[in-house]
Amino acid sequence: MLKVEALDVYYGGIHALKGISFEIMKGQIVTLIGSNGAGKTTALKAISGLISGKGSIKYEDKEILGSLSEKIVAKGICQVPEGRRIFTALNVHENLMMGAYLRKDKASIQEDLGYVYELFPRLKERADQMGGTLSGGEQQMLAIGRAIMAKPKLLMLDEPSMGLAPIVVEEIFEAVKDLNKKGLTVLLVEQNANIALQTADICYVIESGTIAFSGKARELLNDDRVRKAYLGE
Amino acid sequence: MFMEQLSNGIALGSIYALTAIGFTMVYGIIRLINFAHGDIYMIGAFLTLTGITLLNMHLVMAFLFGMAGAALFGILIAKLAYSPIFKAPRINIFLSAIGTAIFLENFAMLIWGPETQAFPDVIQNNVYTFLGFRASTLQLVILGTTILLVTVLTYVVQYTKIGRAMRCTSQDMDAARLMGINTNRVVYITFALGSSLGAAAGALVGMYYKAVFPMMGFVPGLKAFIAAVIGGIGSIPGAMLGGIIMGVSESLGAAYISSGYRDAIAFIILIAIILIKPSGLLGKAVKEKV
Ligand SMILES: Nc1ncnc2c1ncn2[C@@H]1O[C@H](COP(=O)(O)OP(=O)(O)OP(=O)(O)O)[C@@H](O)[C@H]1O
Ligand SMILES: [Mg+2]
Repeated sequence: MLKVEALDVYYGGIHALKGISFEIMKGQIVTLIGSNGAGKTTALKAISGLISGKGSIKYEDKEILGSLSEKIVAKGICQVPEGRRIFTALNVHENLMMGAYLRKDKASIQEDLGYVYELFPRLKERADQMGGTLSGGEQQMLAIGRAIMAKPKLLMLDEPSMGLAPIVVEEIFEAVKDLNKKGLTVLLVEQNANIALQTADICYVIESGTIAFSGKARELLNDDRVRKAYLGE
Repeated sequence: MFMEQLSNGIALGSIYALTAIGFTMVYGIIRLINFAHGDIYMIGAFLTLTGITLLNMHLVMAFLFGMAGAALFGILIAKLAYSPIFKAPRINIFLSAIGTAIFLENFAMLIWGPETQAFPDVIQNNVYTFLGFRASTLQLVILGTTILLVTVLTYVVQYTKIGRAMRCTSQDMDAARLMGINTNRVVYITFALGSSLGAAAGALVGMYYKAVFPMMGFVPGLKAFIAAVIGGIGSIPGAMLGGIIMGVSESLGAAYISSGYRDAIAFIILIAIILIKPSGLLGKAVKEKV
């Protein structure tokens, strides 16, 4: 579904991604794990068209590297960015509707809104509350809900567990699994390797801008390199 | 005399407010102090004047012509002067803004000549008195036009799809792009809207003082910028409030203190407010974006 090949990204003189390649098949949950500054966020930004790079990013066999971000969203690639980035001055309902910015199908937008509220009942209770006054966990739910409202085919999540209590993390990852069961393909960026490996099918480990190794998530849970570096054992 | 100065101040304040809104909108979206904005005000005045004298347009048509023309200028400035260096350090864009201002002033001298041109008497100016207030037709027209334009703008920003896109882009451009918002388009529309309001202000001033000249935007541009800062840069209601405060205190100050201090008053208010509330009256204290 998505194929990244030899992707290079520079920030001025900083070589943030050094020719990384990875692939996501339809229906999979693929996770990208790595420590601070490894280049995970940079990879997602490049896929979303927020920064430019060299190499190739093919989505359903078409090159999207160099496309405008709105074109990429329109193709069905949506991102829940690091730090949530919800619109603090809009209320929960308005935030969700911003997710559906490019859609015109009113009836099915309402349907998806109902689904988001079912997935995260807390958002429904707070529909009129300003985004900026939500708790961290609620903001993460809102950011995911907002992305769902775009009706994505590929959902990319950047550290959804960051700064959240374990019980909220669990709730959010249950929602991600639920979405995946409904046919959504997921690219999950995480520092919490444990939960990422338990959720994903395939894992790529990224270290200072390169893919160090990859494999089936279940198998990597018992891999020594992963256990030492990312599971703190 | 007080009442006369008050209505003069409100008229002047409306004009500062209209101009300040353009500054504040552009700043809100791309964090740029658009120093060419005062010259857009001048271009608007000249275009409106041209509409009346050369093209024989009805006043309202000429007004709309001036606003539309200035909107086009605004878009061109954004496209040619700012967009190519948008990612460069702020100082580059700032220099480009000053260059644009100088260009527009010289452009106006080339097209319309350096002399002051008289604005024809398009509105019969009567003086009305009610409940102790004294106001002239022109002052009422200025206030009425300002209220109308600000109402339309508020509606657009608050209740339309493009308005929501503008608010989201102003808060977080990357997040807005992740929603599929074409942020380039939003920037151009913001320049167009801000420029057309600035042009309306310029045309109203031309009518009020019956004079239009290439440098007419310089001082009002500076004062409108101060009004935007006083109100809290980035905030549209703040720009209005700042504009009215500036206009009223300037005309009262000129009458009761000394007209020589007219321009100094603006700066004194600015310094006083910045000392007390650095983010401006209605501004939110925002963290610097990284
Ligand atoms: N805007 C920027 N300008 C310059 N360098 C940047 C910029 N953004 C990221 N970098 C650098 O690029 C590298 C990769 O950063 P990136 O944000 O992709 O890391 P990450 O894997 O997402 O880290 P984290 O887990 O901390 O979020 C880092 O060395 C970082 O300092
Ligand atoms: Mg990151």
